Amino acid sequence: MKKWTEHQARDQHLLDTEQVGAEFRVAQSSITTLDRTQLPASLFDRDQIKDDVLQKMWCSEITGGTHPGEINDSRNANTPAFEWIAPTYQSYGGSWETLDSFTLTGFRGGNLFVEWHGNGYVNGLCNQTFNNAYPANPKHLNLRILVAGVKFAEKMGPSTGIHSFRLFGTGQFPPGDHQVFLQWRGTPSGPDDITENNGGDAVMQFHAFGCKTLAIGRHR
Amino acid sequence: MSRITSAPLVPGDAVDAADMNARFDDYSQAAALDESNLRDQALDLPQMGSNLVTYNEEHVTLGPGDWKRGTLVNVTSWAGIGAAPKQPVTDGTSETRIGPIAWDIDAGDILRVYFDLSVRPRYTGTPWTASPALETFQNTASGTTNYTVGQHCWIISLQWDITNATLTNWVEVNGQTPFTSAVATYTGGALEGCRAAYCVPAWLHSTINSKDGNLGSTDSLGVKWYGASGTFYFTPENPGTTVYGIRVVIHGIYMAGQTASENYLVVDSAVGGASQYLEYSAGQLSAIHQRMY
Repeated sequence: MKKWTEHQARDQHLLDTEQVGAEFRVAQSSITTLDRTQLPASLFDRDQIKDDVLQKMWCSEITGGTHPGEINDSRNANTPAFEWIAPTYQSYGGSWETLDSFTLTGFRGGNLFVEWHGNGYVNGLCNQTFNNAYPANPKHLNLRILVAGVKFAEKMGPSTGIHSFRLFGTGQFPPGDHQVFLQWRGTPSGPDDITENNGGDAVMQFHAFGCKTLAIGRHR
Repeated sequence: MSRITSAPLVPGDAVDAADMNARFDDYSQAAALDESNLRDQALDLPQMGSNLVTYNEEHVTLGPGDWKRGTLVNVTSWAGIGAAPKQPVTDGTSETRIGPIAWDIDAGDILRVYFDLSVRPRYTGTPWTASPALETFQNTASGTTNYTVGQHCWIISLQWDITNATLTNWVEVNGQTPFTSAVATYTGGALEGCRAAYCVPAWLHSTINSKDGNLGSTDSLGVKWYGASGTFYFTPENPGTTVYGIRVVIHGIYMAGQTASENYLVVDSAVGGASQYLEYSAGQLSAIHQRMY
């Protein structure tokens, strides 16, 4: 810590310019190289902290796409009036599909937290069928988050009916504008699955809606 | 950066009161210090103020709060015409909610709201047989069977009061559909508007021994105690919003619906009534107000 200690003036002391000049030089040096011992506790509040120093968030109040928050791919409009325009086994053949993606622009490296919340629907009529009883073929809406192409978090996902879900994870990542992918995968059809009703309409099998995401980069 | 710019004193200079005061004034540069005045590693935790990331946080127990489920609250399904009434979560007598608060959510801020609630949907009989969502499937006996594909649900959603602290002006949170849209002859909300609406299945439908695409026998199950959860994010542009209260409401029963290009959840009052209700016991509602950057 720097202190103004060059000279101590005393009574009857003659004052010369060098004495004062030395004091000022020390003080000048002190003010240009402040350290923690010269700074009071709780000195810095929100206004003094630069953006992105401690952390940065990337938020989607509702994920993008033509139909925000919903699965936008593999939708089949040939479904009955009281079903959704959603993936059916006529329009979806399996494999992972991307519901949405976003870029962690300006991620400075460190701890990354990502969460994905939404609702998922699974048609559970054919979890166990005549020719596929052992083993059965339970249906799920599998969910996973990829960051920079690497699996970040996953879960088996909702099954039978409409359910809320939340998927989240954390990890350490180097700096970079990493890509985040939100992906879903429906359980493939079994040999006996009901894929259409008596009227010939396709039967919805999977859907997700109300999806939203939050990513937090904690840089320190 | 703040630095002292006055010329150095040299021998022979007159050191008078005016000169000294001028030099001392050099040190009185309000708000002139910046990062260039600080050494590397100059700041440690004691120098950092509080609330640098998180400005406000509140949480409250939802429902009766009885984790042993000795005390329950019921929400009866809507059997009338039009929008289903939204019934606030209570402890049996009073609303369990966050507020009154007065959080100024400004541009660059985020409001994160999370809830969970232990619920159990109840029903008697086979209420779905009255539903317009009932479909006809070919069955394995070369006949047909009427059944649904499990598209009935309760909705738990969030409301807030952004008018004043009296907490009498509850509206749906930003972007959340109020489920009052007309969809053909039904009433509901678009799936695209489900920013803070979360579903609990009213019942579970499956089949046994379906074969070659033909329905075997139906197998309907009630939902057991179930942990519903939800999230809402709010990241306003200018101007910001002051939030005075947040609460959770329950309504139903809904079913899937569609127009030419949009998906909806619409009220199925045909399955509603006193024998279809949702029990809840306990949960938590949390809200956190932070800066995003």
